[in-house]
Amino acid sequence: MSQVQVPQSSETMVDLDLIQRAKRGDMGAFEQLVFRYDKQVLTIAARYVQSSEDAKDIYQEVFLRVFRSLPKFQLRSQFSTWLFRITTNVCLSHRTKRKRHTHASIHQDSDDEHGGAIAESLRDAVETDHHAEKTDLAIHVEKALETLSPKQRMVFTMKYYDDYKIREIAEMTGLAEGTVKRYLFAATKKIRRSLHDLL
Amino acid sequence: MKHEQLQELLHLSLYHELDDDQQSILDQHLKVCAECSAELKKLERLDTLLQKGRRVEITDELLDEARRELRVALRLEQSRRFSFSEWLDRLNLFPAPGLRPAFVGAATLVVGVGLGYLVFSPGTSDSGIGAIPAVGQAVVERNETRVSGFRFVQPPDETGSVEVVFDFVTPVRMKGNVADNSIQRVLAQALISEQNPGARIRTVSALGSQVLTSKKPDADIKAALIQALKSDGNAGVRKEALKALLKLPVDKVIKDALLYLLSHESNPGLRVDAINYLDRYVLDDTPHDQDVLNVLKERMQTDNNNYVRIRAKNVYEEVQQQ
Repeated sequence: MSQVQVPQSSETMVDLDLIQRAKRGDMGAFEQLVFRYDKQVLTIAARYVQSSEDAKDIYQEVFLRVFRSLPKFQLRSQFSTWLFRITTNVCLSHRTKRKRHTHASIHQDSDDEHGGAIAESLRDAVETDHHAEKTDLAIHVEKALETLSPKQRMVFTMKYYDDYKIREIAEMTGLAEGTVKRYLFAATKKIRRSLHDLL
Repeated sequence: MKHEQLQELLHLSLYHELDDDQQSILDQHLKVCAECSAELKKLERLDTLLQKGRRVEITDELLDEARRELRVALRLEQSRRFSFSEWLDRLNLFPAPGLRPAFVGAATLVVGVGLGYLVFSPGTSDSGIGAIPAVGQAVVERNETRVSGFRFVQPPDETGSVEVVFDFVTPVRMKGNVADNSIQRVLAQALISEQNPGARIRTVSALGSQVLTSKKPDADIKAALIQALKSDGNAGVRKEALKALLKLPVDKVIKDALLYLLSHESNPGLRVDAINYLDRYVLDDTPHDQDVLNVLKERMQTDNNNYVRIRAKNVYEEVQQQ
């Protein structure tokens, strides 16, 4: 049986060594492997969910999956490719939880008698502070991001916030480059529509 | 090149995805097409807006916190993963079938000792993810190991090959002081893995009584309490974890846990508790803590419970008036 040969850079060799040691139960090696990539994983997750707490949940789930699956990892792809594929999958499946935790929006709340009154008084509130403005903007951006499908959101945040190349996003998500572009254009269109008043 | 294709190039240009030739074609087009120039400006404004509206910054503290919580989760995972089936697999490597029964006995002994080591062996404060706690002054008595939760993954086939899974359980009786490191580690482990919520509540209470007396509580205990606060399925356990945590000096980690509780907790009573604690312990010292104010503002706008919205509004406005 033939196996796909992956070109091996010095970085890949370091990964290989750590993977083999981790497979033998060396937790120190597993920790080093985690530390080589975990900031990237946390960043992707945080940009996707726009919440540090949810990002930590995703981070933990990703590395637990890696820990469980490492004994079966066949080295047919680079470790980083495999890891980021897991990361994007966990992000995409995390959406359900994020949605479940998301409370009613201001507009939904204003259907409620008391919530409406509070929302009304809020609109009258003076908000000149720079931080307050930034928070408002963040809320608008978050609401705009919520109009996207999970995959559109994934691709969009990886491009806009993490500045990955389309080719890299395709590799990390397992999508074709054309599909990534399609998601990106559709997402940009939706976001522009949502943020129209601010543009 | 068609206008639609050039529009696509506009987007790709903003993403720095064009090669030199494509960029040059686009630059030439922009000189003569007012519509595309205007479109590019709009896209640039959108980009600026999105960057300004970015909510989460990845700080070293956030990464450290994520790593600490991962360590706790991995320890739990390790203790679950340790299965006798791995030892049975290794038996296949044993050359002489006649010696297998003897090897099974030896393996059982090794596993028993190994499990004991996993839970009670000494560790160091700077150890890695798989670090194991120390026994300290606690008296430990182990009873007979038994197998439970046995099931066939693959029943015996014609060659006799079989695969089973089961829990390898050694009842342990431990006596010591709740301030003892090894007792605390076991309590922290129980807090995460124990099925019975009543036992988890008593575990949190025990840890809570200890944190009062400890000047500098173990980071793993704190992480276990935070994990219970954030993810335990029982509101009573979450409430006890909150009470225990608030006996500690409020630092950024605890503040973040409170903010998480306020944003994600399903029980309105606990959300009100979080507001009260933030009011009393965080805003008292740093009244203009923007993280707290942001979450309070969000709660007073969006919480589905009237009282939580009103309480958040009162605290928010009180701080604004200071």
